[in-house]
Amino acid sequence: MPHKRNRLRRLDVLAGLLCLAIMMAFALSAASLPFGSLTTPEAGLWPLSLSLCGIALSILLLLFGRDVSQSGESISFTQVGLYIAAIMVFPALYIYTGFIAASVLTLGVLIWKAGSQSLLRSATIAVLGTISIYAIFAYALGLQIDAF
Amino acid sequence: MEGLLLGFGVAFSPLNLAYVLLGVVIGTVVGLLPGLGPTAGVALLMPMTLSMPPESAIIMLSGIYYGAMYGGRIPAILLNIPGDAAAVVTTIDGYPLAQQGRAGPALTVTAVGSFIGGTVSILGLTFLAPLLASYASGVGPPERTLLALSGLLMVSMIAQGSRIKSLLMAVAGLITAAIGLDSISGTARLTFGMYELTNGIDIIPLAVGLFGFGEILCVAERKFISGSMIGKIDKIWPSKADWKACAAPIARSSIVGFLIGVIPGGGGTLSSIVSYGLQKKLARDPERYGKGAMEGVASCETADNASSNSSFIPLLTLGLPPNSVLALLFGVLLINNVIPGPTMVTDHPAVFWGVIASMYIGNIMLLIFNLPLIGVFVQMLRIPGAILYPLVIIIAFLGVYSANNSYFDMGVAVVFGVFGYVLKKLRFDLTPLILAFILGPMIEKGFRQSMLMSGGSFDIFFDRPGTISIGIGLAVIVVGLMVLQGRMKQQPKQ
Repeated sequence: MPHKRNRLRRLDVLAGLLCLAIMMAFALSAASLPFGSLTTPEAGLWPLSLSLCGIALSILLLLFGRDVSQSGESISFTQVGLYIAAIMVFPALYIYTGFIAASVLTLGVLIWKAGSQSLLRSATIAVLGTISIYAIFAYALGLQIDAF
Repeated sequence: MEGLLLGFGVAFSPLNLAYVLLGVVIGTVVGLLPGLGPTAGVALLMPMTLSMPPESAIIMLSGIYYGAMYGGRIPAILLNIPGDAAAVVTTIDGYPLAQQGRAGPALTVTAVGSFIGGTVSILGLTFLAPLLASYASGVGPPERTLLALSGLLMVSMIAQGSRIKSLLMAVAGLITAAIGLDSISGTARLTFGMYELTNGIDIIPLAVGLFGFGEILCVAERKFISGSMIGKIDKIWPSKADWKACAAPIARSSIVGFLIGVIPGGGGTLSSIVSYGLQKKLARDPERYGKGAMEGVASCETADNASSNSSFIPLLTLGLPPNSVLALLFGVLLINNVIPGPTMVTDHPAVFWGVIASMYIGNIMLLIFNLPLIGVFVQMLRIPGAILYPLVIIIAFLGVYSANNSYFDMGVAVVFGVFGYVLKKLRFDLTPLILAFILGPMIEKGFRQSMLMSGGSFDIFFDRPGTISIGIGLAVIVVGLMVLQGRMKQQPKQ
């Protein structure tokens, strides 16, 4: 149990540090703006006040954060890694190759690798899925999508 | 009555009937997919509604919301996996009932209970919303600011997990909303030199990222659930004894759910817990609970659906979204130039009454789907997640892109997707973030107006009758809910 508590404590320290870094970045950005006064506030007053609140809360989290326990379910890092990669790569592929190629590739790899389906089945689903989605969006909904 | 007739005129138009139907079907499917709750469903599908008239958009998205609340109970009962957070309590008695071969009757009782709870709530919404709107239309900027801040504070205080983290998320949401041009001076702020950020962050990539991609990544880290283990459902009709036992719990839970739904942060999860706890406390044989008590599943599902419908009251009358789904609906209304709040009933009666009338229709549709057609939805649980989720990602990206034809928005969705996933892993509740993002501009504007009115004195928030009553109300509700939440959270575990 002490081991689990330590792990959760470390998670909250990590969360506190992450939030502190983000809030400091916002505070620095807001500090360069004019503040005005309470009766005539300028652009910087509101974001700086919020950033300072955020910094105070991050420090509180860093010092006192001890979250409740969570289930010890195992995580498939390969699967989640593939999904993160797919989410990051799809927009880039879309810009350079258009929708059809980007979608077929993303769907194919995700279904094949993360879904443990056969290559042929994955490719078939990827092609059929892409065609169906394109037909719905481009023709039924009339949205402008770059196919190639 | 005139307003409701206008609403039925809007809701009964063939196009809107089709949107109600589509909304409740998609909602039920979203609800029954383990991992994807109503927030993710609405976030992923909101870009599709941008080309629709506002009343149609809100009618469809509302259908997705309460449809998902219905759908969430199906995997909870059949697979012991809640489709959404609110259905967690349903698993306590639902799955033991399925193991005893009584999944069919449990699904029927919960469908009827959900219908009754939903209808009671919509009746309350019909009569209460216009009254509250007419009262709220008289309040000034200090009251509006305090009301929005109170709502945000309440949500943060009763959110899941650490309160410091919830408050941090609220601050993060307010800061995210402040990115872009200052509304008065026109100065760019918090843009870090990126030109694309001067227009601020759009609700669609933010919502799709945080709630859509973030949820999918959380689902993807576990082994995909297979629906192949579901047994055949032969008998769906409950016995006379079941109906008799469930009648009073359904009636009680309808009222409990309605009341909790109105409170910011209340929502489905809390109403299910409170209602189940109350039912167990009133039961003559509480030891049956947790082993397959039909009244247990009936009470939590009834309250869950009642609360999802009554949560529209603060949104439509005060412009205060009480949970993350309604915050997204708020965003959709704003995109369509409809400002939710006290003036909505007079400025946009077709939207106001149209959505209320569509709920009556949607609830009847859901009852039909969930009784004779329950088998069709159960079959959908057999679609492998490994195929479904990649398709959802592509559809979501297309939705984000087509909203503004912007590659930058796709990038924003990716950033918020990964960020949302990391935040979830660090056990942050994202509800305060989206609420604060939506309410941020309103709070800032109200704050500035109030400061101008008072000559820079904060006393304006404490010396007006309206602000004093809001402050007292907030204190009473927060203390009451925290006590109740603490007590009730223990009961399902027991």
